[in-house]
Amino acid sequence: MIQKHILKPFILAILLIVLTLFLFLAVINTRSQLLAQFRYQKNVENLQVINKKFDMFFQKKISYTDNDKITASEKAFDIEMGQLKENSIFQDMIKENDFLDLFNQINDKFHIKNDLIEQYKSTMGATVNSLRYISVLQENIVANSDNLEKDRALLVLYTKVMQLGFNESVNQKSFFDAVAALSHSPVAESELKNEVALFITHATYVYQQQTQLEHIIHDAHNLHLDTALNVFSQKSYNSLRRHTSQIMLVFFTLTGFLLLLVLYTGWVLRENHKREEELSYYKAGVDQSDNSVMLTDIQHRIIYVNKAFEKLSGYKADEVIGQTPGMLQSGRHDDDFYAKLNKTISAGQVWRGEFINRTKNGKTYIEKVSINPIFDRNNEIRFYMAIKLDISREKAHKEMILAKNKEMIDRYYQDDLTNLPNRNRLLKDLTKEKVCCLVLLNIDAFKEINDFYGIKKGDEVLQNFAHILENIHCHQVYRVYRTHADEFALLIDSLAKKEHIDALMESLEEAIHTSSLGEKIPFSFSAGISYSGLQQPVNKSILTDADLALKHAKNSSHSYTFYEKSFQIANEFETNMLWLKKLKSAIHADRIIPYFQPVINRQTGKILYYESLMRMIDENGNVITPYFFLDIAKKAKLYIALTTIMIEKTFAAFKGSEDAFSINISYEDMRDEKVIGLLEEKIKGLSKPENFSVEILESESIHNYEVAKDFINMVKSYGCGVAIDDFGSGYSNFERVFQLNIDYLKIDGSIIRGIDTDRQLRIITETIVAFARKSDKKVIAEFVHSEKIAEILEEMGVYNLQGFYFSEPLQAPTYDIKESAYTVKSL
Amino acid sequence: MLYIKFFIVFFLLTALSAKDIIVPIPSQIPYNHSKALLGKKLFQDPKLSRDGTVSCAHCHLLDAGGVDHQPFSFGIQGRVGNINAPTVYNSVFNISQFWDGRAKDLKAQVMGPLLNPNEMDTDIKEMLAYLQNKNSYLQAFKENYHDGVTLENVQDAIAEFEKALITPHSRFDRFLQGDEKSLTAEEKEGYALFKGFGCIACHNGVNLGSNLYQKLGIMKEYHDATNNLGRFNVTKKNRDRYYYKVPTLRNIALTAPYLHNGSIKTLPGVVRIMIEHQLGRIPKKSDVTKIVKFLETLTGELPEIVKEK
Repeated sequence: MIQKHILKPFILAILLIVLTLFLFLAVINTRSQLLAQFRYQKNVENLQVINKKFDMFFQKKISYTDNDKITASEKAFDIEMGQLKENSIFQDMIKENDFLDLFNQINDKFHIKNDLIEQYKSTMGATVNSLRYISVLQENIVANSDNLEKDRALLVLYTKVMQLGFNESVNQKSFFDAVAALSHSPVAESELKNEVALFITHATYVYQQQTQLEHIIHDAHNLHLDTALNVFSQKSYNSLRRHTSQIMLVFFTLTGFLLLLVLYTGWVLRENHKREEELSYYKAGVDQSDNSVMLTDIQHRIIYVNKAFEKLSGYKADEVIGQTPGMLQSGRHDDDFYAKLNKTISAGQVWRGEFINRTKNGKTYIEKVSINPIFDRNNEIRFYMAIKLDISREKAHKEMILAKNKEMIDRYYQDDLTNLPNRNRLLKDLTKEKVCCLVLLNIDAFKEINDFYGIKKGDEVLQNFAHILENIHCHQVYRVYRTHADEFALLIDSLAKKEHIDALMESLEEAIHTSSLGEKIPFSFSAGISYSGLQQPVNKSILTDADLALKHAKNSSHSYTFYEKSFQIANEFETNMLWLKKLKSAIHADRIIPYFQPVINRQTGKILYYESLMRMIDENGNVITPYFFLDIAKKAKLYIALTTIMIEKTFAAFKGSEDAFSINISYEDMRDEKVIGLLEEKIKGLSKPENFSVEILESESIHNYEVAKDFINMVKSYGCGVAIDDFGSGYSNFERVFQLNIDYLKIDGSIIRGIDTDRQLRIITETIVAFARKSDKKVIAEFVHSEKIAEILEEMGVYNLQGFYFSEPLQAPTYDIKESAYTVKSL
Repeated sequence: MLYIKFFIVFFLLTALSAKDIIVPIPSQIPYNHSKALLGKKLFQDPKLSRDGTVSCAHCHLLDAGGVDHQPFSFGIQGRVGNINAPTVYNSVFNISQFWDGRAKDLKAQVMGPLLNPNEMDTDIKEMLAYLQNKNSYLQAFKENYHDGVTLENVQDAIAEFEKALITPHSRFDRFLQGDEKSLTAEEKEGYALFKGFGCIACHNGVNLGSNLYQKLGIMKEYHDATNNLGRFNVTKKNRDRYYYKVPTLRNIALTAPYLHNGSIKTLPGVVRIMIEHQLGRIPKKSDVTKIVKFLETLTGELPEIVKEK
């Protein structure tokens, strides 16, 4: 089957050749026709020219004729006529009109003219000779005559002859009268009579010849050969022009067709070329593609493979073309696989999947393949194109990454020293597994072992212990972890009775005991066990329970202890009781006292005020901050009492002093009428109430803002100041707090402490400062522990600073700012 | 006396122009040598005649001025013709061929002697058969003509040979070409008379004649014993009675006897007749002698091809 796009140029080429041949023939024909025309016209022209020569010949008067010349012209005319007659154009032309008549007419006229020329030649020569002889005779007669008078008749005739000689018309009668006169004149009778007779003969001859010449010229003129030639020429010209235009029409039509055909062919070729070029780009693309590409016919015979295929498979194109792709099979796919594949593609669908194929060297490789059926114009499958990507490397890479990943995970979950799973593993296992029992084990006095034997030996102990743990002689399935330095864990996930655990622990004890018999360093352990008795989801507290049990075990004589709930309560209770006891004892012994920390204004260089802070002095004289006892105080309803103590002692401390000071009041205090009453009473007793301020603690715990407002209004009504303490910590309701009628915002120490390093905190601070400035509140910063932080705050326009950098809380409000190294630099 | 003055001017003019109307024979004229050689062979082959006895050369002896020096030529079987054989030399320059000009050119002329019963009386078929059968002819025709042996080719070959038969380098030609010494004083005088008497009126051109027809007996009737009517035989016009093609004067000293009937045996004799009958003058012996001297200078050199085999 010939493809359409091949057929078209083929037909075009044939057409082109045929048309070119036609044109070639037309050119040859045209050329010969034009040449014939040219010759024809030349002939006609020449005839006219020669005829002109003839006419000129006739006009020549009384002289010898150049016979060769005129003869040549005559012959030339004859030759031209012959050529004309032979010309194919002439042969054509005489068919259609009166050309032959005209031609014959010309030929006849030419022959007549030819004849006239011949007559003229012979007549003229003789006439000239006679004229010349007449002159000689006349001269002779005159020379020999003795009487001029006698010669009169001679002269008369001579004159007439000469007139003839010069083409003047001479009356016939007068001429012959003159002849008669001469013949009867005395000279004709003299001794010159022979000459006179010759004279008369020649004169008469000249007259006859002259008359003859006139006739010849007249006849030649009336022949009108020139007119006939002109008519012939004109007619020829018209006919030739028609003829030429016909030839040219054919020629130009053919040329036009050819030109159109050439243009069209050019266009078709260009299209084809474009298509080929496009195809060549595609092919180049396919050739150079990293994907290996294979093209097969419908019988699956390979007809094309690209370079990537050659590189990958190790086969050269020559080796595979004509073969089927089966040659690449590794045998790793079953027949069913190929059957499905064939079914898919022969149905005209694209098959996608992976092949494990074999290279020429027998190496297998994995390919990601798509096999596309390629359809022809009739929508029938003609080719299959397989586009394949070698993914062996990717696969290997992926596996390697997975292995590395696993190793890293393993490392994360493994202890290097003992190769046991570590604490991370344990925590992970605990989050996802059902557990029956967890045992935490700790080597007793391991610090001493390390100190005594050295770390190396210590490590040996640990490895030994790990080994023992892994090989406990029992029926129970368990896992061993090293959770921390000398701490190990056993995890039992299967259902186990308590007796089994006991047995396990006893086996362990025995194993350790046995191991200590040799050269090994003897050691003992304690263990805390969290046991649920069930196989159940892990209790969140299992680890802390076990830990608590371990602590319990350390303090007991037993090497291991099962966790009991009482351990927990006991622990908490024990602590609270201790602090409550301490607090009560302190209150009782008046060991609750205020400490004073100054707030310094860096701008004025003066102390803004002293904040009064609560401290407890324990039995040993240690100063304890409220952090340790405040919660207990609240629970034991001792808080108001503490506030009361603080109010009493603080006011007492500043009695009569010029220094300003503040007291911390909590929301809880505000609601207590006794506290309010006491505070109001104390304020009233102040000589300068403007030196006193209240710092409201824990503003986030204010639930009822009316209470706070009432309290603040009360304090403010005496001209005292109000500050919000710890602003910015927790979840302070900024908006509500700002609505309160307060004078100072004290930014929380947890913010200030970090503004030199944490940009976020600095932004928070700047925001608070901006807010404060807007609502006309002053800002105080606490926990200023370095010059750097002080400077940062100063840059922000915060000048009221408090912290260890300036002064720690003092037993008495006696901070001497003048001696301080931390005075304001601007001063 | 006005007319006398006119006459003198007129005479001078015609005298001056006279020189120009005689030109020398060119040294060479273009012709096909190979064809000419074939023509020469045919020209000299008596086998072309009916009985194989008479060739062209029989009457046109190449080494004898191209004539046979007979008043009338003998044809086959001793048959006698009725007109004097003109020379074959320089016939290429003739206005036409034969005394009456009935053949327009050399090619046409060939047929005359061939077919004339009193001359070769050739049977054309036999002649062609003879030529066909003779290898050397067949070969030569094939070499020269694509259609081999044909009557036309025979004519053409003979005509081509005759074309080559020119006789340049006569003493008079050398004189015309500027060699004043090539003519003696007497010969020059003869030439002057030739012009002065008006011989030149008809005997001019390259061939000194042969380029027009003229009546024999213009000024004085000539009595022809053979009663040949001349050109009348061709044109059948009364005015052409006794008109003949004016013969060439080239090699005239070699081509006696003279006139169409071969009746005049010597050159002075024919010159005398010409002066008397054609020019209407009275011939003087001294003039005739001088003119004859001049005419003798018109003998040229034979062409190479005559000597070639």
